[in-house]
Amino acid sequence: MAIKHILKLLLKHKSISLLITLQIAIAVTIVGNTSFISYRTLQNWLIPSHIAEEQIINVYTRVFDKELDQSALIERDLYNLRALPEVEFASYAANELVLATVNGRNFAHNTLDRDQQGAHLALFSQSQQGVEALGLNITQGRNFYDTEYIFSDGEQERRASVVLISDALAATLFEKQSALGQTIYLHNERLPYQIIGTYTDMMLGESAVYNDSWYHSAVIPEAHYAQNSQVNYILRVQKGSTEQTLERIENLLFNEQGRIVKQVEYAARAKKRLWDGRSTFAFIMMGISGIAILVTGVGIVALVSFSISVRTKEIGVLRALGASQSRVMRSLLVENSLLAFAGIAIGLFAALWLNQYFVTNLRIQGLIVPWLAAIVAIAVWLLSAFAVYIPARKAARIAPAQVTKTN
Amino acid sequence: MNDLIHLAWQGFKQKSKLTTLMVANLVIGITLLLTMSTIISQSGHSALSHKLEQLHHVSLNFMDAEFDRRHALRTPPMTYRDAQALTLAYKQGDIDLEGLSFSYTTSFVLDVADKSARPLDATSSAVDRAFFSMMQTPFIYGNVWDESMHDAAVIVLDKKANDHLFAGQNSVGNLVVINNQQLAVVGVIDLSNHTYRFQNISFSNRENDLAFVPLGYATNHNLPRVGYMPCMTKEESSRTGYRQYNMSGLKTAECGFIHTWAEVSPTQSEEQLGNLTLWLRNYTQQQNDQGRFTHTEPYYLQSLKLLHDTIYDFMDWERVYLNFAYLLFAITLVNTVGILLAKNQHRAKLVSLYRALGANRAYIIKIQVLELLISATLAILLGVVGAQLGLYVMYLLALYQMDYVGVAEQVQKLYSMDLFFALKAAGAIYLTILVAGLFPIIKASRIAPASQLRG
Amino acid sequence: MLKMNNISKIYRTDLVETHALSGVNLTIEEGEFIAVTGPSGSGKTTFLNITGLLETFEEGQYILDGEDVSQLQDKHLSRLRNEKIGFIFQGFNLISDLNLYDNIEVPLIFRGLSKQTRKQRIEESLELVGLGSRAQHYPAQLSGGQQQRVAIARALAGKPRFLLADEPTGNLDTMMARQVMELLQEINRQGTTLIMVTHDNELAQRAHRNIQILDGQLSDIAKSQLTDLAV
Repeated sequence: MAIKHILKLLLKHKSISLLITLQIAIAVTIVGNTSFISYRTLQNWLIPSHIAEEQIINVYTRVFDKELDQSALIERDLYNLRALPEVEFASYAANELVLATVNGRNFAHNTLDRDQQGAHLALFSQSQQGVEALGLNITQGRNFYDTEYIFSDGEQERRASVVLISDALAATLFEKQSALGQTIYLHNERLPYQIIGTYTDMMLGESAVYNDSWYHSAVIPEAHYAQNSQVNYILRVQKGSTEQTLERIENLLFNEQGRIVKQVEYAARAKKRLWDGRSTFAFIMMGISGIAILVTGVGIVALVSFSISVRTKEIGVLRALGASQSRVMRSLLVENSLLAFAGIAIGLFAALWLNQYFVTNLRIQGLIVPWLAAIVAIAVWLLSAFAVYIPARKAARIAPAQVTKTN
Repeated sequence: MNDLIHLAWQGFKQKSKLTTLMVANLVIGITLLLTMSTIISQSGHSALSHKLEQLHHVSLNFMDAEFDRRHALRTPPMTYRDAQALTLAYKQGDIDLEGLSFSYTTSFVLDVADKSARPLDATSSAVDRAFFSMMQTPFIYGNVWDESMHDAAVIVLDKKANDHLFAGQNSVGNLVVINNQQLAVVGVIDLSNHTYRFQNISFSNRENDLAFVPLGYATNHNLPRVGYMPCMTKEESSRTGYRQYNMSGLKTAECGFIHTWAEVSPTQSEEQLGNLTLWLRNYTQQQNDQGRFTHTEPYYLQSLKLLHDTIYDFMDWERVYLNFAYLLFAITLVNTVGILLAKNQHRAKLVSLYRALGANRAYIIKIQVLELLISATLAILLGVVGAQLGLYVMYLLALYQMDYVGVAEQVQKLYSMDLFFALKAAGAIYLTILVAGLFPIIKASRIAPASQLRG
Repeated sequence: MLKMNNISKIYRTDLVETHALSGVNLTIEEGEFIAVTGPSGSGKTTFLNITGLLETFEEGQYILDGEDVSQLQDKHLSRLRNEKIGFIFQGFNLISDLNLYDNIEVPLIFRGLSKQTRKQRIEESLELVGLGSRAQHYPAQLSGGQQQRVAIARALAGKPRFLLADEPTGNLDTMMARQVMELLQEINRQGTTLIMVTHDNELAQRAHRNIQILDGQLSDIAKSQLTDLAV
């Protein structure tokens, strides 16, 4: 049958046509929005971390006994931690832990001009073994000399003078120029540090990630203690370490009185936490989408089966008049596609509207991605075609001899 | 009536594949709808739901004129001096209230002197006596400290802290150590029904206070201020000091940290609120002469209900889910209509036979409505069961999302079904299904008698 | 033009085998008007279905226009139905949701004729059955006789090798039935082969040749015998 005839038939069978269109429209609204919302999350999620997530351990402790000498405590802790057989490297971490920013947001500047915003970064303030614990792979320049490490209490203003930065940060700050030997300014006070080396990109900083500065990081050989009650460590352990390692470390650290061990965790856990909220949201949304697709698919099968059952005789006539099985199939698919296109068009508009509502009223991120909308449209069309295929195949098998039956 | 039910039941069983499909599809829609709407509805409940109109958060807005409060949960707490002034007025009888309570959020490590348990990092509150009666928390052991002990070294523990430090035993009279100081336990309360940490209007649903110390003791011993503490711009640089150690400075500073709750009597609420509002207005006007309270909103008096409604505004994700649940339910309704149409198509002959045998249109409608009700009841029952599963899944996801900070029992409360709500929702779903089903039913009732019987 | 050799058709259910047709031999020449009669259950409908390529058969050979159609697939059969056979049914079998023009156009579209040709053929055939002015009407707006004439127009528009009519007047009153019958005879006179299946002996009398089916067996009979058999 020609499109013209199909259109006429669709108009005659208003209620069914309307129901199918409506269903597809709602499905597109749901799936379209879900895709928009989930897309960015998943896109970020798939960025590789390049860190040994199962080998790096963050240790968070808090000293509650104000009489305790933090300097001596840290030295004892590091000594004891390094003595554990599975620990390869251990470093005191004054500022950031891996994928867990402890102290505020950090910026790196390539100028002292206060009007310049600077680049977000994860700023690691480490004692000895910090570079090794993080597993940095220095590609240009050199590692710190042992003499460059500064370990002092928070009151003294002793500062390091050198810094290692990631390739991505170097590219942001200095573009095509070589970063080696350049000066960057760190901390609120904008203190100068000379770049002595760069390392391959790793996803290290929590707040840097939240600011889309995935691979921006820097390490300074400068560890201050007793600024507050926090005493944190970054450890690197052997491959294949388990939860028992975490427990052993926790027990070891709890042997000290006047200090509480808040958490001992693999970097993998910290990384999971980065996406907890948004990925959960995305998962639920995809779950709802999945259900919507399933229900819509089943619904189309039911509705098309019904509309075919009403037209058994009509299809028989068409067969007698010379419509082959494939022609019957084809025209049912075309018929449904017309409805699907209408539904998809309505659904896309509804999705845009709903998206607008979510973004303005519910503080949801997830702007429209045109090519994603196109994929959703095609996918829903394919789904509807597949759903129609099942009853259509049955319809095509309607015997042409149907027409000569008198009842 | 019996015959009607019998015929409806027969109708329900006809075309069992289609019926199953219809019920299954409704169950999916109902499960999702009930799951999501329960989560939203639970957000409006707390252990203090019955006091939503009685409890009011009182705030005197000392902040700069340009201060942007953003939303109700960011209402500035009171400065020390304003809290003193309000206390004085209350004591002198200038203000008539059922109760007035002051508190601030603090945090410390709880330790036991004999080292029989590991120390515990405890988010806590420094509170006055009135706080406990306002919060209506059941004491498992002991009781609140005496009036005379408003600055004594005593502590009330939450059950969770007591479980950790004293293995759940009656710890009244035992000592705990905070900042190298010993405090005597006077009572243990069970906060597990308190799904929200309302006391500091953070409404955190993840964890609640683990301990309560007298407000006087906390200020005297400088327990840190860890909650929301806005300061006027001129004070910004000293804020860290005010939080950590500089209590004497904080007492005169324009930094708010004291949360104030007023409870009014249900019978005289309007009068008492008017009274309090009048005092707040007079006070801010007087102080205005000294250059304070320059903000256009010099005070806030907000009911617990208003704050609850604010949380609802913040449940962006949950509301997105709910919106989608509605849409999905709409799809299942469309399906239901389609399947009903299909079912009726298959039995048009039967209906026309009934009609020929003398059934009037109303009778046909009655049969079919009853039949739809059977399907709807079955679907709703299964949907309620499904929603239990759905809520459990959402609870697991919520815990996953909260990582360490969620307290399982507290989170679970938010993801459990409230029977009354479930009944209301079920009623609404019944109605919706029925309305949706009307089209195919009326269509079926229009089949002419015997029209489908001819050869 | 049409030749059947020893065609048999058996319907099998779990319990019984029904020999709907057994060993049918038949040859039909160009321009003939043949009436096939027989009581119900005699195999009339099966014969009609097989002749119209609506149904396949197990044994024998069917040669249509010099082409053996016994073993053809659906696609091929559909094309042959479309091109060579014009159907006229007792129940008219018009598509109620399409107007007359569209109804006639459907098989022409199947054949892939150009729009221009289709238009010309539709107008011609509607004119021929005397409904030229009602192309935009819907079947429900017509009387039974008019509907059957539309069905005849639809059958003729395809310029088929033969018309296959199944009780063409079964649903019509006497007056209309006569008109329709006269139309069919007229078409036959102009050269179109006509095969008509009916249980009405009076109608059968109008044919050139009469064939009777009894228990799945075909036999030519003389017109004079027809009345005797009428039960």
